[in-house]
Amino acid sequence: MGQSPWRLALRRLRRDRIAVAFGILFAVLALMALAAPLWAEVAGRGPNATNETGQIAADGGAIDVVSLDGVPVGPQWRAEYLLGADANGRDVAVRLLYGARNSLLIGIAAALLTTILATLVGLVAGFYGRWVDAVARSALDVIWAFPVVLLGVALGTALALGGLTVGPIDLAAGSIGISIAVIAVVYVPYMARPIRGEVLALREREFVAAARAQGASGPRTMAGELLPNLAPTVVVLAPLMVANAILLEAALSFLGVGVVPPDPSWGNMIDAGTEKLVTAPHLAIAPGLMLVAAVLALNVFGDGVRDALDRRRGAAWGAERP
Amino acid sequence: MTRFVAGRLVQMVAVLFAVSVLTFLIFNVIPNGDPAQRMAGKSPTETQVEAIRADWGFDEPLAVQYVRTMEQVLGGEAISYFTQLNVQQEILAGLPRTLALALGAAILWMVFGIALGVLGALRAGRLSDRLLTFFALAGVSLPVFWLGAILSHFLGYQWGLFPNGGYVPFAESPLDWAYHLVLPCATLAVLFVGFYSRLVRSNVLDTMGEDFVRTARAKGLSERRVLLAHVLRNSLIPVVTLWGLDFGAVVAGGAILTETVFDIQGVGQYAAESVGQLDVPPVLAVTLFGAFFIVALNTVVDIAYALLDPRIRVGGR
Amino acid sequence: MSEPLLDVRELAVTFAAEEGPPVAAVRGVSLTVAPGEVVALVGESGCGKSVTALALTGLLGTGAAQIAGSARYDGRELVGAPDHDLRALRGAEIAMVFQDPLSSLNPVVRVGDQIAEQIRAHGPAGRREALERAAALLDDVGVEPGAERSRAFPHELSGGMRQRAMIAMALSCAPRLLIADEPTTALDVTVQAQVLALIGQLRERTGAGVLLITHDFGVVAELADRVAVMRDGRIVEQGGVEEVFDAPADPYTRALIDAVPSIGGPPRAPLADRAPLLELERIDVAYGARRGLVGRRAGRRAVDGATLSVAAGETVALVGESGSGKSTLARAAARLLVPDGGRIAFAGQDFTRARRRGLAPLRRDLQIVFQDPYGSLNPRRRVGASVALALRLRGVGRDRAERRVGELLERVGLEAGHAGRWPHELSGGQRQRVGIARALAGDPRLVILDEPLSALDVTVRGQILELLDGLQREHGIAYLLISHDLAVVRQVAHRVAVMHGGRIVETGSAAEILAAPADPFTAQLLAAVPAAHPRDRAAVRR
Repeated sequence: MGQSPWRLALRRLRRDRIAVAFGILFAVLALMALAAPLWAEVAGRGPNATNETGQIAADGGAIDVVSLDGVPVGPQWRAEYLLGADANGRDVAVRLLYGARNSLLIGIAAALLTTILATLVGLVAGFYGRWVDAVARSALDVIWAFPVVLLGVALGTALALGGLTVGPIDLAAGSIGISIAVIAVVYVPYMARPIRGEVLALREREFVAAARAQGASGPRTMAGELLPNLAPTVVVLAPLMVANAILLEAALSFLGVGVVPPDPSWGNMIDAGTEKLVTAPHLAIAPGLMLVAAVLALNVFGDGVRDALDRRRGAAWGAERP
Repeated sequence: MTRFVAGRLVQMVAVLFAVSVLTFLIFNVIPNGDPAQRMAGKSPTETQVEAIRADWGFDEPLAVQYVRTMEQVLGGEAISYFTQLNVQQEILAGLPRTLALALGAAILWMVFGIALGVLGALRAGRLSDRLLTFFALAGVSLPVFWLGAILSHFLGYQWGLFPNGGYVPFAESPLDWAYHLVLPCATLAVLFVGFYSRLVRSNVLDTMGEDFVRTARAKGLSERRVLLAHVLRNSLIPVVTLWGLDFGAVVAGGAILTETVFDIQGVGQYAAESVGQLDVPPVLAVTLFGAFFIVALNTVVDIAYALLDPRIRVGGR
Repeated sequence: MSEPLLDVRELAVTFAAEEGPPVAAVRGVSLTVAPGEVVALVGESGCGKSVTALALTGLLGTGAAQIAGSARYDGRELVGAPDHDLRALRGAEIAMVFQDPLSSLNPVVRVGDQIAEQIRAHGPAGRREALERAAALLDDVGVEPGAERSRAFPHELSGGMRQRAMIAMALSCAPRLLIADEPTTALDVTVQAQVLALIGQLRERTGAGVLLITHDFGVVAELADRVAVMRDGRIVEQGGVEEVFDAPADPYTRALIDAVPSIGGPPRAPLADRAPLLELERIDVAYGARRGLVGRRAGRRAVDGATLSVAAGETVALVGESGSGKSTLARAAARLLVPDGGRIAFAGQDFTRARRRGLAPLRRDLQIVFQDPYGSLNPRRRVGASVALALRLRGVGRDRAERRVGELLERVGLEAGHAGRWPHELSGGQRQRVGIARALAGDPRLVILDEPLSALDVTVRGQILELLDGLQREHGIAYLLISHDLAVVRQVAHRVAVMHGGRIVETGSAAEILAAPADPFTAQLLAAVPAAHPRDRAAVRR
């Protein structure tokens, strides 16, 4: 009975048709990424299957998949080589979907990890205050001092050869785990700061004091009183975090410290594509468009989520700093 | 006020120290494997590795390693084992280029960001505002390296409107210098304009709903005066300080992608090329200097904020 | 009979809603204000009185509101007038003073500059000349020395000074009509008395007409010549202030007047000597207890050596103004913070530095009800769950807890079914009842009430007071009532303690304190309480 604050927000979100449409767009892209193996079946080759010397049927005759001077064939608009081939004769459309898998997986996993870490740090620092807060803030300030891409690059470079061992977790060099870990850590201050700020404000509210007067312990108060009221802030930041993580992953892969070729990611596909822009523009345009579509969908949807949850009309953004 | 400044300066030194320690940890301690091997790059010889170990002190205890590392980098001794060039000199050579790019972009994004943001706020809810919002979101969603590549290819190479990348030093030809910078600055600015216009818009909207704006109208001030002297004056304070921070971030290596795509040969590109070769000393140095620059600029911005907003001067954060 | 300064006829204001039909905030209001006359527009929150005032000079924002009807100022029609014309009137002929001077002044501009800005907007004046006039105005309203104060930023002035500065600003261009929207609501009672006196003096001096908007009948009794009572967007009664007080025609007006507790009348007799239940001895709490190195002001404490006790079944009132430390002392007593010095004992047991497990008995017997009904309930929890928290923490099973919650809700005048509601679905008064139910959950022996009425509408206050009184008679609960409202204190307290600057300056039975205060601050506090009837109005105070 009654209308919970969540249900009211959901109703408001549903009325924002544009946000919903873009949210569906992102879901569709994610589904397409999941269906990558299916498409590989249809197209007849895997993402890493090279074909430098092959030929395909076109205009009644046969043309080289990769011409003698290294120019790959453009979009064929049919099952095989739907979007053309790359310099090694691999199917661009298939690689695009497998790349989507990697990029989206890394983006979502990193954002999830960031959210968990940032919520923990922000909650504990804001609630306990004093030295706990001082330590947390200093740590955040230090990470904050590095520009995002540079820190990602620094970490990526450092970990590129030997990998990373944190306690029981062993991440091999060049693995997806490294990308996820690097991106997650880099973005923790971006999320922890607003969360901490929110905790500081909530902490002064009387219902928190009331819970303590009723005998609730510190952790109990954090979980029962603060966390549910933090949820809107977290939910608003989450899509933006995923968008940023995807962009950072692409940037790192573009620079060579993310997903290592031959495994595809939108970033390294754009990197390879920019070298052949003159002769084969489709190589850079295709992954770029898909990347923009995914990120834009998240941003528009995230905007709609914020409008639905954040009663105050213009909470300043903290999250998509370039 | 003096106490405030003194406090911030002390904080700055502490953070600088912490930053240097973190950088050191990132490059020499956290990763698995032999740091000397890592520094030596892709295909070192045994003598090279030994020499590196001696120079950087990898045999010694951590504290000594840290001191040696700082000596190497801050003392201008470090060289890239891949190119054999002195790292500090390379950074200094690239600095004016990065500064030109950063400043040009920063001015562009500030002007357009404020203009579009105010426009969006004044027309809030109407079609023009929704379109502006959409374009702002699109701007933030474009990966700068892709946008740069596409623009440079089509506008530069295909249609010849702009040069196809590269940088011309100011001393050689001011006109050419500016001409070459148009596309890179615009590309870098697009990303920030999207963010800033939304920030300005939301700040302005928030401020317009404040009580003191209602008081200003009740005083009989003209709408223009209300907008300039009260709304903008208050809502832009955080924007200006953020601008300072972002400018610092761009100079400190945030332009790495734009520089690479347009072949500007600035500090960022230097780092990017070193990354590609897994050449550690330059990346280490750029990271350290970059972070130092940002911390120093942060402190300046904090002090500027206190000057602009008198409420900040009372008590800490 | 001169032409009225302000002549409002059938004014109506309608707002478009986010979803659903448009909302009519004002439905046909008619009133007049003559030169030199103070007309009070009274009503509870949400009745539309502020909207009426803002609509007159076009301050409701373009496009959001539809205004119909007529409002003539000096013969000129305001409704539908172009903004350009209205702007010429605003500040120059019709000036406004708002409720909260801290948010109503631009925080980053010096006070003098803000006053000068208004002066220069309505007449030729150089910057220096305008600033000099601003300083003179500040002197006039008692913000002295004007020249120095005009260089201050709003947050550097006290609440009372800020409001005086706003009044100075409003009067800077010699307006003929002053609209004051709840000008003293955010102020302490002593400051309120001064500001009301100031408005009265200025009305005498300049002959301006004043439209005074308020929810407080005490303010009306102090200052108004005529009264218009507003409810749900309509005026239900209008007339001279004495007539309305003596013989209110409308039952709603009568309810509003009756609901204001009066300071006259006998206080309660103290209870016979009983052993103290709660003992606070020489409690010290330092300022900025949470911040680190910055913020400690040497020598000044939020609570300084406070000693107080409450016996079983009695009501002790702790009175003082904002900043006096009474809320801090209340929180120390509830052990929501640890005092820096002194001793807290309950039923003979020392709880001063007890940790969580050691505090359990205290938490059972001592509870607290908070001031703000909107902030004291977790917005993301159903009301029943908030009430049951104490029980669940103690291990009471879900079914038993549910039944107990139902009992408690009924005891405080709600229905058991309310347990499933969300806080935002309840009114302020209902939420406060939930807060009380929550405090009663564990059968406490003492309940600390921290300004339990100040955020509630006037008519609701009486009901809550009755409820609290009934609970005390039924269960023998002791109360430590924190309040700034002496009239409420007279009605319910057995004993009174007066707090000022962190210190308890006087304690005694209610009769002693209210009739013959020993401390000069207490006397000042009593003198500042607004009249209950216009004839008790004090002569123009200095």
